[in-house]
This record gives sequence, C-alpha cells and structure tokens, in this order.
Amino acid sequence: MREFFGLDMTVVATVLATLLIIALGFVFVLGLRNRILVKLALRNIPRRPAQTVLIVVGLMLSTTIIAASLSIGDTVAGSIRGTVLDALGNTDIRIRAAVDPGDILGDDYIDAETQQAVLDATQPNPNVDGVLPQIRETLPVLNNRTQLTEARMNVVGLDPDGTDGFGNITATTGGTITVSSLQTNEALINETAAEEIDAQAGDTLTLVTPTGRHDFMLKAVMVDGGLAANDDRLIISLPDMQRIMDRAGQVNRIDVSLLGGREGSAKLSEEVAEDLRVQFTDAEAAAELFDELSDSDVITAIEARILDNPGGSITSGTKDDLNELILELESGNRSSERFRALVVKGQVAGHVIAAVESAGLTSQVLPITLLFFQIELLGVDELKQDGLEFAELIGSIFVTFFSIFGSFSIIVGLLLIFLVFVMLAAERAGEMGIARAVGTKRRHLVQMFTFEGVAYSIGAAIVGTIVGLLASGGLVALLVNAIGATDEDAGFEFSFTITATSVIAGFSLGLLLTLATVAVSAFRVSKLNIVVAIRGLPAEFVPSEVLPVRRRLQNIGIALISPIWQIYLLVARSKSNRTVRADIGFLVLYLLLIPWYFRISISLWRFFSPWFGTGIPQIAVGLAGAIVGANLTSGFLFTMLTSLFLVGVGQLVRWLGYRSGLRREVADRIGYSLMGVLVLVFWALPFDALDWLTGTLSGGIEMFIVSGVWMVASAVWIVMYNADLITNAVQATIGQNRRLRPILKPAIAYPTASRFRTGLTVAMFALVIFTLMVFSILNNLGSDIVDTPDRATGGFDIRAETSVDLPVTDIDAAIEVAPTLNPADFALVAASTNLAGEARQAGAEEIRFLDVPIRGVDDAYLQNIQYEMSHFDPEFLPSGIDTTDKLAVARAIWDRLAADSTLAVVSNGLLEAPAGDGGFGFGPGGFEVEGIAQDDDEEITAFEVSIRQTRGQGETVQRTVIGAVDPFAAAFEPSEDGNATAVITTSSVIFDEISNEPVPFTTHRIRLADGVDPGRTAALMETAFLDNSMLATDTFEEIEDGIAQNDAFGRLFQAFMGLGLVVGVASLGVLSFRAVVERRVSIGMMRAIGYKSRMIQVQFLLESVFVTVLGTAIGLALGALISWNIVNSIEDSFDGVSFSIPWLTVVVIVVIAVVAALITTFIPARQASRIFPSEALRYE
Amino acid sequence: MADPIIQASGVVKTYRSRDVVVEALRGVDLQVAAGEMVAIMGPSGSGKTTLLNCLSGLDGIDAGDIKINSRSLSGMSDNALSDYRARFMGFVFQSFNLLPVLSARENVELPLVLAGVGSAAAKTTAMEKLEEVGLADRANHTPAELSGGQAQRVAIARALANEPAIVWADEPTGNLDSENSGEIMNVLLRMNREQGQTFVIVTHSLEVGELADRIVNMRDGAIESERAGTGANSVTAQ
Repeated sequence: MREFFGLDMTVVATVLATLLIIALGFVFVLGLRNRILVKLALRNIPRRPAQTVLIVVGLMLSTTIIAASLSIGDTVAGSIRGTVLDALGNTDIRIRAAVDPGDILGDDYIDAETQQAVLDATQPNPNVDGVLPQIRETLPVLNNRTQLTEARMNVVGLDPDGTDGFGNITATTGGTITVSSLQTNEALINETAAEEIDAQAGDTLTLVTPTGRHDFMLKAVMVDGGLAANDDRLIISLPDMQRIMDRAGQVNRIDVSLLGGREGSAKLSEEVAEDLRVQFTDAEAAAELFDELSDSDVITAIEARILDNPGGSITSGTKDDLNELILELESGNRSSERFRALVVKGQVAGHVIAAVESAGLTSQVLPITLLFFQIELLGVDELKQDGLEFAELIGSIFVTFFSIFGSFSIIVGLLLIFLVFVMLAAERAGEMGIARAVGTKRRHLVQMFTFEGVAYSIGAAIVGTIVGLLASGGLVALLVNAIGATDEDAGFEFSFTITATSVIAGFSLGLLLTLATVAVSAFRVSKLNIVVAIRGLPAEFVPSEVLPVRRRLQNIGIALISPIWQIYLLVARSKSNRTVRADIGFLVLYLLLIPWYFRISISLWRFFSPWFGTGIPQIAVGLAGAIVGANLTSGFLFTMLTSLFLVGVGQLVRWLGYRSGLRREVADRIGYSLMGVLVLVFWALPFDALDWLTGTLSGGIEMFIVSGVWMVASAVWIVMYNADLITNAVQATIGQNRRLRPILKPAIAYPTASRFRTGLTVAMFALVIFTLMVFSILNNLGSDIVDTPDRATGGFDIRAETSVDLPVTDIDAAIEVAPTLNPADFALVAASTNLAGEARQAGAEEIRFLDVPIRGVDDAYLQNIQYEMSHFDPEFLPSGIDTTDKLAVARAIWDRLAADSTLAVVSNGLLEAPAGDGGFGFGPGGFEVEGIAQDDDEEITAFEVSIRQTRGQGETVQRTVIGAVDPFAAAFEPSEDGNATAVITTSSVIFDEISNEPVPFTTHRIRLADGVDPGRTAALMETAFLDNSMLATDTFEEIEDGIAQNDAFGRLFQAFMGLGLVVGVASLGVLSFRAVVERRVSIGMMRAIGYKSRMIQVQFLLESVFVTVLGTAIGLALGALISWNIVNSIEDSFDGVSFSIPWLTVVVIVVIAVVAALITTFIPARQASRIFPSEALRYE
Repeated sequence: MADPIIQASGVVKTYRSRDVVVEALRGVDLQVAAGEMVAIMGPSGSGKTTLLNCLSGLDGIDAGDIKINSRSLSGMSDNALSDYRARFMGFVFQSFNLLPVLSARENVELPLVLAGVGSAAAKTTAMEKLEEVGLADRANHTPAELSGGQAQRVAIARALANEPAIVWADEPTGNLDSENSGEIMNVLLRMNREQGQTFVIVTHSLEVGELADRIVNMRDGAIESERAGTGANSVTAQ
C-alpha cells in the first residue's frame, strides 16, 4: 500500500519513524544522564508479572487496531495487485484504435498499415522487449462433449510470431506450449474457463461469431496467469481469429511488453507511453490545430480559464500542462513534439475547448473540437501502471475506511492507556511520596515514571503490532467469507499481504500515541502532593499554585530563549568537565525543537490557565472561532468551537456560583450539568437545524467521529455529576430486595464516588457501543429494499444482456421459435441500450461536454418500468395528481417520456452529491447536473441538456430533463467501475438522431408470467440465445446476493469495531484489579462485620455490571439519536428509508458487553472474596 | 463468675512464612463473662491482636477450642462464621475502617441492612445510634469530612447498631489524642453498663486498660497475668 489518507506511505512511515527515534532518543539521553533512575524504574516491571501483562495488554490495543487497518489495506492492495499482474502477465502497455473504450459502436480494429507503423515505432525502442498484435473478442463458446456453454468467453487470437517477451504458456499436464505450435482450428483454454465448461484436451469447442459457428479442437488446458490470464480465456492463432471474425489482416490491440518483467516499471511505462502517444499523432492535424490555437484570442481565452478555474475543475497537473501549452504556442514551432504530447491529453483538450466556447469564439469551436479528435491516431493505455495504481487506490480506501471506523476504538484505546497510567501513578503514590520526602526531585520522579512507561510502551507496541497483523488475518478471513474467496469472473483472489512500510508506520504511530499518553500521565505525576501520597489519602492532586501574571509572562520569555540557556549551561558545565557528551546529545535534541515547542506551549498554557476556571477565555475563543468556522463553511471548526463556547458557558455559571457563595458541590453540579446538557443538545440537534444561522457547512466522515466523542463525553459528564440520582433510583427499585441491598449499596457507591476513573470507563464503553449501534442501524436500512424490490428491478424479473456485435433483432419472434422456451412464460419484454455519450447542461457553469451513458429505451420500457422518481418537475404532471403518491408520480413522468421523445430523466447519481458529503468518490470526470443536489426537495424545474455521441461524433440534440430516477433503481446492477450506472434515460428515438448507424438493443428486461421460475428461465435463455452471447440475470436474486454481500461487509466492520469492546472490557479489568488492592482493608472490615465471601464477589461483579450497563445505555441511546438524525438527513434522497432500531442486535450487544464485563471481573472479584479478614486488617 | 460468653482453651496459632515460623499464640486459656469488659494488654508482638482475631472468628486456630455462647467456632464454615459475626458481634478498629464512599449514617446502617432490617427501620436505628454517640448532626457527612474522634464514634455506632452480644475493639483509641480517647472510652463504658454488652478491648494504653473490669496481660503469645481494672469505679465516679 502506498498511500495513507492521501499521503505517500513511505513518507508517512519515514516521518513517524523519525519522530519516534527522536522521542526515544530524547528518553535515551535522559536515561544516560540518570542511570540510577532507569534502574529503579525498570525494577518495577518484573516485580508484578501479572500486572505487567495487564498493562502491556491495555497499552497494545491502539497499536493493534492501527496495525490491523494498515495490513488489511496491504492485503486488499496486494490482492488486487496480484490479480492485475496475473491478468496482464508481461503486458505493460496496450495500443488500440482511437475510439472511446466505452463506445460500443466504434470500429476498434487497426488495419495492416497502421500495425506496421506500430511495429516500426515500438520494436526499435530499447525498453521494449515484446510486441504482440492480437484480436480479443468476447464470444459464446460451447463444449460439444459436455454441452456446457459460456456466453462470455474471452477469445484471443495471438500473432504466433509476436509472443517473445510475454512469457511462456504452461500446460496443466506439464511442459511449455507455444502459440506457433497451434495448427489451424486448434485452441488452448485456461484452467478457469476449462472448469466453467468442463473442458479437457481433445474436446471440440464451438465458437460463435458474427460470421457463424466455428469448431475448434482443444489442444491443451493452460495454467492461469501471464498470456493465459485469469479470466475465462481461450487462445487461438491470429490467422484463425482473423478468419472467423472476417477481419483479414486486422487486429484490435497490440500489447507491448517492457523491460522489468512481470512487476513492470512505472517510470519506464510513462516514458514509453508518452513517446508512443506523440508518435501516433497525426502530424498534419497537429500542425493545423497549432495554427488554430495560436490565435491570440484563443491564448487569451485559455489564460482566462486557467485564472478563473471554474469550480476548481482544473487540477494542478492540468494547469501546468495548459501553461506549458501556451509557452509552446508562443514559441511558434508547428511541429513541436511537446505540443503533440500535450494536446493528446483529454483534460487539456476539454479545457481548451471549454475556454474557446466560454470566450464566445463560436466560429472556432467546431474546427478546434474536430482537430482535437483527429490528432489521436491510436490510443496508448498504460494498462499495468493504471491497474497497479487502482490496486493502491482501493487499498487506501480500505485503510481510510477502517481507520475512520477504527478511530473510535483507537481513542478508546488511548483512554485506556491513560487510565492504566493513572492507576499506576496511584499505586506508586506511596513510594513516590516517600522518595520526595527524602529529597528526590520532582523531575526525577517524572523521569522515573516516564522510563517505566516507555518500557511498557515499547513492549506493548511490539506485541500490539504482531497481534494487529494476526487480527487482520482473521478479518481478512471474514472478508473472504464476505465476498467469496475468489471472484471467478475477475480472476480475483485474496492473498494476505503485509508491507514493511505498514509495519513500521503502524508500530511507530502506535508507540508515539502511547508515548504521548505517557507524557501526559507523567505530567500528572509531577503534581503529586507529598503528604497526600504518603498518608495514602484519596488520590487527589493538589492544584498547582497560581503564579502572578508577571512571573507567568517571564516564564514565556524564558521558554522562548531556552535553547540559548541550554547552550549557556553546556558551556558552564563543560568548564567543570561533567557528562559533556550526554549534554551535547541533549542540546542536539533540544535544537530539534520538540522540547522547545512543548516548553513554549506549556508556558503559554500556564499563562492563560488561571483564567480558564471563569470560562471567559473559552467563551471568547469559542465564539470567535465558531464565527470564523461558519464563514469558512467548515462544519468541523464551527461545531468544535461552538462546543468550546458552551463549555465556557458552563464554567462561567459554575464560577459565578462560587462567587455567589454557593456550596462548591452545588456550584459544580449546576455548572457542569449545564455544560453537559448544552453540549449534548447542541450535538443532538438535526444536522440542518442551524443552517438558518450558519448556511450550509461542509464536513466529511470526520464529523461522525467528532460528534460521537462530544456526545458521549457530555452525556458521561452529566451522568457522573448527577450519579446520586441514579443511586437513589436504583435504591428505590431493586434496592428494596433484602438480600441484594447490603451488596448493592457499596456496589454503586464505589464507582460513583471515583468520578474520574468510572467516567473514563463508562465513556470507553459508551463510545464503542455508540459506533456498534450506529453501524447496525445504518446497516439495517438497506434491507428495506427486500420489501419493495420493484424499486430496484423496475418490476422486471430477468435482465438479459447481449453483445452489440451479436444482437437479438426481434426478441419476441426469437422466443416464439426457440424450442426450449415457452412463449407463454414471457408476459412482457422491454429493451434498451446504453450508448457512450456526452452531455452538457444548458446554462451550467461547466461548459464542456462530459461523458455520460445515454440509455435509449423502447416504448415497452417507458410504459412498464416501475422505477420511482426522486425528483420531478410538477409542471409535467397531470393536474390534480397526488404528488405524495410516489408510484403515480413516477408513472406519470414515464408516460410523458413515452409520449414525447424530446423529454428525458437522469439517474439520481448524476445530481450533485449532498453538501458536506466528502465521500469516497473516484473524483470528478463525468457529467453532473448543476443546481440540484441528491438530497434537495423532490420538486425541481425541468432543464435542457445537449447530448451527442462520445468524442464529439455525430449530431448534437437537445433533451428536456423532467425528473431524476430513484437511486435504488438499478442499484444492484453491476457496472464497469463498480458504482451504480448513472445514465440519461430517454426514448430510443435519440439514437436515430445522434448516431450515423443503427443502434441495436443490447439489454432486454423480461417480466415473466405468474409462477414462472426466473432463475430457471434465465438459464434457459442463455442457452437459447447462445449465438447472441446472452447473459441473463434473475434480478431479485441479484438483489438478495447484493444485500447478503453488504450484510457480510457489515459484519466484518462490526467485528473490527468490536475490537473496541475488547479495549473497554480490558479497562474494566484494570479498574477491578486496582480496586481489589486499594480496598483490601475495607473488604477486611466488611468481612469482619459479617459480609460473606460470596457477597464480596457479587459486589465486585455488580460494580462492573453497573459501569457496563451505564456505558452501554449511554452508547445505545446516543447511537440511536445520531442515527435518527442521519436517517432524517438522507431521507430526502433515499425516501422509503425509515428509522428502525434493530432490537435483536441491541440485545446481542448488551448481552455481549455484560457477559464480557463479568468474565473480566471474575478473577479480581474472586481475589477480593478470598481476602481473609484478619490478614486484610493487618494492612492497617 | 456467671456463664462465660467466651470460652477459649489451649488456643494455639502459628504463622508460617517461608522458613520462619512464628508462634503467635501458645496455648491461651481465657474466659469472659457476659457483660464483662476485658482489656487485653501487652507489648507489641505479644499476640494481643491475634488473640482478638481468633476469638472473634476472623482468623482460624491451629489447636485448642473457642466457644462463643457455648458454641464452638472451630466447626463452623466461613459462611456460618460470617453470619455469626453479623448477628452477635460488633467490631471497632484502630483506623476506624469506615467505607469512604458512604455517609456516616449509611456506614452505621450496613450491619442492619446485612441483617435484613428494612430500609426505613435501618435508617431510624442508625440515627438513634448516631444520637447515642452524639453525632446525629453529622449523619450525612462522609468519613473524609469527619475528625478522627468523630469517625471512631461512627465506627462504634456501627459496631453497636445491631445490638451485638460482644463488641471487639482493636486499639480503638490508638489513632486518637488523649481527649478524644477519653471520650471514646466513655462511650464504650456507657454502652457496657447500660446495655450489658460484653467488650473485649485490645490496647497498649494503660489509661484505657484501667477502665476495664479486668486486664489480661500478654507476653510472647501467652497470658502472663490478669488483674481487675477500675472501670466500674471510674464510670460511677463521673
């Protein structure tokens, strides 16, 4: 994996490792200076092995989660990478005809003359080690022996003289086979395809092409990979292929292999591809285009567009290209190769044409557009590099996704680390107090604590990384389970992969986060009060004395010049000849700025902190920041700083309470409760509740994490400051039970008395449960589609797709005559075709034509389709229609389209993404409707679009868009890029207008008669229409499979987030073990006055259950609340989505949490119950 | 002597830790009559606290027999012992040992709740007991908010809450100054006289010991001598 949140992974790993080395180096030098402290600190570790283990486990969990997400990313990227490399073998670059790959009508064959030109251009290149002309087509194949068929076999005819440099073909029986050894009508098949049609050497296979049926003898089965690829593949010789396709002398692609073998080389690939692109340009057209563009008006227009950069559509790379283009134009060199290399880039062409159009140079638009398309003679695709980049992209998306959902667990893990160190500090308090009493300096204690913490942290990071890798192995197993170990069509196979950079990054990040927490804990230790510590009074840290303003200002000044002070000290010490070397090291690290930075930050913090109690700084900063945030439309800034403001308000009220003479507890309760309530209410508001004030704010997935943390923190805050209300409530209810009462009282009193520890643990549980709850509610939403499948299927049972070269011309007639099909089974057949096209919205800011498939449909489609509308123009509805009746509205719109072929509808996916949806998009590129967002109100105003075939071919026509189709429509239909296909749908009349040749229907949708089995009929149709290469799908089954896959993914993420539950449970363990030690004497006393040992055990268990139930309840309630908000905000774009609580999941979550808590507390509880009273009391 | 409520005969208690064997009690015989106040005194390490722990059933013994109300402790299970303590015994410790998370009243309620007294009744009784030790006005304070003397008086109220037959007190004044010590002893003596409860007090303060009916002197795990105290006189004198 090469990227982490958009940053280069190597850089990330290097930076993290460097920071880590600096941090550890700093500690190391400190250690060298105080070896005795290190010794004292490390002595604690082996003293209590059980506790050490517990600490290491607690500390490792964050690292585990980070390492697990990174290695899942590695595995996904590595698996796709492996698949790409298997599929391509040694092929790096593919040269093809200059038609859009999505253009089903374009003739993509290359004539003999051009082929020769390609050979001449490539073969002398020293970086090229193989050039292979070939024809590749998807054809139906029948195995005559087994009568099994494959409607979509990839049949490749390879030039027998061109396979050098592309590796060997190995037969499954052993031995190498060459393409040149194939006789006429002999074929090779790969293992994947052989399995599909149960083929073996000697079988006769029938290939169906537009010229008829052709029999081939299967010579051998090939091992997958390399030339044999990993999809369903059949290889024959090029002359045979040219014959059966009636393409004498022609090929449709020429693969190029470069030096660098299977892995390839990105640099080489780019270099050779650019060189080839320039060579395969039409020099004459380029010169003409040069002349057209050299016009000063055009140059001015391009410059204006670069400056204007409408909608940020010009990326920085394209901007550089455009600037370079202007320089080339100004140089006046008509035959410049650089110019040609620039203008073949699609982005450059698009922006230049747009610039010319927007400058109003109407007469020049058409010639320039045409010339742009004439320049490119052949397409040059960097197949391997594009594939590998795609692998990295998907890997990064997985890491991002897992990291974001894992971040709750990471936060919880960090809280646990903090808790562990707080406990450790509490335990060490006695010895540290005595150490201080006998003269140890404050900073020595801090150092000692730090050394111990660092030792645990290193151990934990190592263990955590290893466990993370193992955990990811388990999760990958789940992932494999989710999407099937291998997707045979794509030849995809999961292979567990880990890269060194990920291991380094995961280890470093985990350890750095742990060290940061150690630092915070050590800082707390520095506030230790000697008397409090020695007497073992409640672990209370005495507030540091407040220095006068002048001293605080002085300290800032000292901090600023502290490096100079260090140099002075160094000089002074070197004179007295003490430990100079260590000091130099110390100074070097100091100069690396980190301690300096901290020192300045701390002095600034100290300067302002005395005023924090009044809340006024928070109010001022929060208010100002929130206003700035709203102006920047940053949801993150606005909400964070508004929360700070509300915190300040609570503080202020508390402070005013003190001033007015209220009792401290009362003022605390009022102020803090108010703070919690204000923050909670603020975050619980519907997402758009404040839009009237702030306008629409932007924010991505990070808002989910931020809101979760704030809501949980404020809820826990409220609960902990009003815990006595819960105590009273419990006492008044189950507390009346005589047997439970003596146990219940202390079981609740103990956790509510130590607010900090309990609050922290409750917050951990709440956060974990919160994510699980949100996830299961949102996961539940998708299932609604099962109840209304027509929204996704359009009311058709089967979708049958055929190849454009082998179309079904009259399907009704064909069904009548097909011997295996019963015409009575077919109630209705509707037809459509998706044609590669381009569109431009009238009056939009984007004036380029951008790619979008045009779906032309027949009348049967328009009259019967049951897709609903997410948006519609009420002007086009019959008067008096009930606009809340979704079905009626949709029907009316489709009827309008049937009646008027100049009307169209767009897919919901073509509308603007909802505001604030950062999303995981693949970036812009295609056509998008401006001015209407997916979550806007359903009533819109119709608008015009201009539509033409791709690459500016043919006529341009106008269509009026009167609605947008529900996003559920076709949501489960597969498409090339994996996203639901977003199209412009209109009557197929459009094809007659924009295409120069007839467009056959490639997709048929079939509604079956009642009671007919769609699965069986689909299979029968594939056989009956084998000659058309038909692929028939049972649409309902497709939806169910899709949902099952989504559910499996859902479970995978739940399992991943469940790691957080482990953290929460571990924290309970830490708390309980600590409680047993701290409360030994109290337990002894309770036993003395008659508590039975079992009662003590139950009391400890009850305490855990109490904390767990509290955390779980908060998590469930807040999770449901925010999910309700989420559902409300997406309801507009996904109507029919309704909020429902998955009670079964809730019960499962609660049971798991409570049982896990009981199991973890069992051991410490038993320890507590086994305390012998006389022994315990001796500790007095 | 009336029927003894505590009868110990030949009690032996040995502590072993690794190679060291400490004979804490070497055959102690002791009888305490109902309503008697006995002070156990002796230097540090003489076995005072061990004897108290063994007599009260907090600790087991290696040989001999202990009978409380004529019932031998040696045959009783841990649970039975706990029940026994809850019903017949009260404890006062040197460092008070109140539950820090409960208020004074709630601490006093604990033994009552443990005995199954209803919550309203427990509350009333606890208030009465606090009244008796003069702390009714501090009922809702937590132990951290009480002075040492106050905390010990709460502990006494707790020990007496379920009106036990025997109250065991291990250095009840050990953590207190002389003024507070005097107050505490007065409370204990008053309870002893007014309610006829038996008191066994471990102390090394002669002043405290003298207030008891009988002083038992221990040395090296055995009873060295016994003599009468002056408790009754001092109370009547006041």
